[in-house]
Amino acid sequence: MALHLLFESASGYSLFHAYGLDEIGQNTEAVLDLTRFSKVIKLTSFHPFSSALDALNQCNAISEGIMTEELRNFLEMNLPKVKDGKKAKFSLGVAEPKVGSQVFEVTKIPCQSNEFVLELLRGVRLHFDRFIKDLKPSDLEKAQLGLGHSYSRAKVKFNVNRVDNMVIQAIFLLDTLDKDINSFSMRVREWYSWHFPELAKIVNDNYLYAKIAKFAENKSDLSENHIPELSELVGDEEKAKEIVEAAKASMGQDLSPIDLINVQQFAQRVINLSEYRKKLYEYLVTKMNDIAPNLASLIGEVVGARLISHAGSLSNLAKCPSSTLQILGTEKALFRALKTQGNTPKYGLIFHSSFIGRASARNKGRIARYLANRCSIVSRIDCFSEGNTSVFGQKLREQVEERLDFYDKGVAPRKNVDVMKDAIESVLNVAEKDAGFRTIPFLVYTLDVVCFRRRKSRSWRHN
Amino acid sequence: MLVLFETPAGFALFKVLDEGKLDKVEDLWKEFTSAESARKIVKLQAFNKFENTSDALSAATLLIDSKPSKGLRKFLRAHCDGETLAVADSKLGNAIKDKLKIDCLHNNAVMELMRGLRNQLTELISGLAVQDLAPMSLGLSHSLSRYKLKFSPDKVDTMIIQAIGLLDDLDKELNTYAMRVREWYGWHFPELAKIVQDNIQYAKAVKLMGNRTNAVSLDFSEILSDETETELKEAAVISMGTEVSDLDLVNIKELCDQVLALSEYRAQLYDYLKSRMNTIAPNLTALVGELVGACLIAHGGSLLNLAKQPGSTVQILGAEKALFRALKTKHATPKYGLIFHASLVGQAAPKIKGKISRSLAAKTALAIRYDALGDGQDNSMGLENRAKLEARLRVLEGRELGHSAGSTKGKPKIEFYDKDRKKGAGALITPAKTYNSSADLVLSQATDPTPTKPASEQEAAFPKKRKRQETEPTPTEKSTDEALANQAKDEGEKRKKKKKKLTEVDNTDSPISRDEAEEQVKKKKKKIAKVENTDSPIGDPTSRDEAEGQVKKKKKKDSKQEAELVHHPPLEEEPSKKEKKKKKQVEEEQAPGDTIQKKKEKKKKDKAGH
Repeated sequence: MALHLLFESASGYSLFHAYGLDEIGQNTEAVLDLTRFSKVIKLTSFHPFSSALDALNQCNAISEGIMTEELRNFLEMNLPKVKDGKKAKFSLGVAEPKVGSQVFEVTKIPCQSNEFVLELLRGVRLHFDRFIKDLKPSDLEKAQLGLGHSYSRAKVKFNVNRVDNMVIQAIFLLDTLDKDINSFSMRVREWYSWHFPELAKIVNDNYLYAKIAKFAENKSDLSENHIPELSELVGDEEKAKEIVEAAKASMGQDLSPIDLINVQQFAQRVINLSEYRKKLYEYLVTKMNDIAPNLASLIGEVVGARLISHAGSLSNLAKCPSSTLQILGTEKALFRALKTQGNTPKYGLIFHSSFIGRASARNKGRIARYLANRCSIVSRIDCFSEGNTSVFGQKLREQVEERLDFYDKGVAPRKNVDVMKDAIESVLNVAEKDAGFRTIPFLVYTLDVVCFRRRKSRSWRHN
Repeated sequence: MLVLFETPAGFALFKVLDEGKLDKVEDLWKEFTSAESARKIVKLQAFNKFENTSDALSAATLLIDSKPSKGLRKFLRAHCDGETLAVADSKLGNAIKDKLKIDCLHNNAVMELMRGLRNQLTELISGLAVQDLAPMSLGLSHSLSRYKLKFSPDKVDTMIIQAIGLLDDLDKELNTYAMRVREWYGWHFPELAKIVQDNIQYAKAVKLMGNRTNAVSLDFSEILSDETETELKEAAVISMGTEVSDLDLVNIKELCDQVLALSEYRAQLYDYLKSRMNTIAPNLTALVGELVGACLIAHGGSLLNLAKQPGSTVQILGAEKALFRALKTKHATPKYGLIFHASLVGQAAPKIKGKISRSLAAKTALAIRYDALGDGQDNSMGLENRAKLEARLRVLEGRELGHSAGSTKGKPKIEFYDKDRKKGAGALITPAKTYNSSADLVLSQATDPTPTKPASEQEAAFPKKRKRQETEPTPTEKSTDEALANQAKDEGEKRKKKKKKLTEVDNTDSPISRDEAEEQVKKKKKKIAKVENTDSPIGDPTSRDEAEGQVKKKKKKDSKQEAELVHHPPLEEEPSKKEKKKKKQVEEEQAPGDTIQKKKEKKKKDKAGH
């Protein structure tokens, strides 16, 4: 009885024909030796996957024991027909018994899956690149790697919109852009000031300066006719008049046309870069609202993104205790303080949150601690909950506000329990409207663990 | 009577109300101590404001030449009918009289009046406050002085300094952004970073492709070569990158746009720099090229500053750190700074880079002065000098070629040859070169360092060669003649000692060297019987020479052996025994520099020998 082997590789299905099996038996030596092995095993056909997506689908189907259309066609095309009611004169060796039974049910092809078949398939896998002539060894490896990655991503329910890496990239880029735009605008100022030194004092904003420099070109051409356009640019007619006046009495030197053109071009570059920065900022905001809505609403998008990028990822941030979060970004000062036995720093990146600026000097440390506390809660919610709501962030933000008031005027803040109840109620309200919200129990549990118990232990310590 | 008064803001005509006061010139100033009293004497009749600074400048320049401008003439015609006009400049008065038939007056009293007017100017002219007048007079004076200096905006070199600084900045930023694109898009398609190396191509490809699944259906032929395109398409199908959302892709594409726009601007800026350099410093540009020229100007601060530097300073401009370090540690000072990047220095062989850079710096200094202070606008002087320098380069290189006469091509194996050239330099009181037939038979012998010469020549040439070699590593060594004499002495002694057999091992340098020399002689003895036979007195010149000649012959054999191994520099190759000995000999002569380790090795060998 002839034995066929079905082998699923990362680049496609393949069928092998095995004969003269006695010679090889279950001798592992023979499997390892290609010359002997290739005498008993021959490739009969190969069906490559059309794309990575196709490969992933096939891979998923096989892992769940399902036969796909492609596989069925492939088998029926390349194996002899099985007549109804007659026993087939061959059998198909497969690695996965589930697939085998499925194949048998649908196509009546008898399948077998045992140690012997597995052993043969092991040999096939070992020598696969020799059997298929056109396949370069590196190709197969790449295909395996790609398939492996996408398969595992699919398994962990990878969500494209929640990749925190993008936020990290964006915040890095934003920082570089800020630096560059500043240095470039300074250069525009310096450059154009040769021609029109008075403008630098009149217009302080870099972006506006570049725009005016672009618009004004040669200062001696500037006249009263330009005031309407200029005031549209500046947004202030007085300033526009001032600029025109200054241009008339300017002590700057004349520039040759080619210099002027160059300055114009450079100003245009700066304008474009600033506009790109604005777009990038918008992108960061939308991304942050996708990835960490609560964190964003509590502490702001930029600071939130910085926290994430500093921790490495959102899940890393969620793993930080709030004390770590509080001094994230001042590691240098912290370790210096630890070494010299001085005072450890009170705040790191979260200093850039507006809350800390609003607190009075002696309360800055307290509010930083409290804020860090809330941030770590919120980052855990963002990281581990599946729902996309910013209710918690807003509620916790209110709490921080109240705490500020408390330090400032002595107004007693609401109890934590009440706030959380509020929050959960509003989440449930939303959830009722939106039936797809599956994560309430998880959320409640998270809160239970993260907020209440923590608060209890803290209050106990205070007492 | 009217008074014409020129201000930076425009022309003013004052009417003198009380002409009687003018008679008392000495007391006139009292009337102008306060604004009220001044108003009693003069009243503003008319004021003609300048349109802008350039208008003011043209009027002012004409006034300086005592000519009334067109605006002034019109103004006077309109406001000054049949009255006498007091002016501050008598020549101007004459001109006005000629042209406009207006009687003009200029005397002491008028000057005093002007002084008073200037004192109370802002009070007398309504709508002309101090804060308005100040910037106008400042602007006018700046432009006037620029005009006087025959200032040309085409000659502004600050722009060049800015531009070269910006160019550096742009390069840096461009790189950062391109790296960011790679990192960002690498999340989606990590393989692309390896397939497309060039940053700009990468950005273009990403911009075109977007999602990597699109890659298969797209045509990259405008961006990439055929091989990379197919490679890219293959990789796109089986990539292990994650999926990204469309929003991310949009932003990545925008970043690509920025990268491309920046690179485009960089190209523009480079063109700009080139054209500016050609107008500002044409000769400098002709000599060293745009970029190096711009760097030099930027480093010097301005073209004029640079013109004040001597050639030697120009030569090492940009290598200040190395220079001062060298001065402090008493080492050799650097040979070139920024000028190193000039193409002329780049062309030169390593050996003559220093020479060329010196000549180039000298010519560059001249060109800079010509550009900064001369009136010529063309670059003929620069081109001429460049041609001269190129000729000099050829001459220098030709001489170098002459040194390595045996080689067929001018490019010898560098390290090997440098050494030999040092030796050869002194020896070449150029004997006629014979054709080296061995050179054209075997390629590997083409670089034979010691061409075959008649034996007599060799004897004449080699001792000198030898001297060079010895003196060069340690210049403070005792004179080479002495060294040679010592060596001969050593050899003499050795022969005696050899019989005794050395048993003691000294730590001092000289005994060791003797041991070494002895060993060497032992080896040599078999072959060079002659030397042994002529047991010559110490320092006898003839016998020494003879002995040396023999040694040299041996050396020649060695060097032939070396020539067969040309591909390895002599220090690295596994030397034959003879060569080892030879090397050791050289080392002995540098004995003070010997390391302890080497001594130990020698000792070991000595012991083994016994």
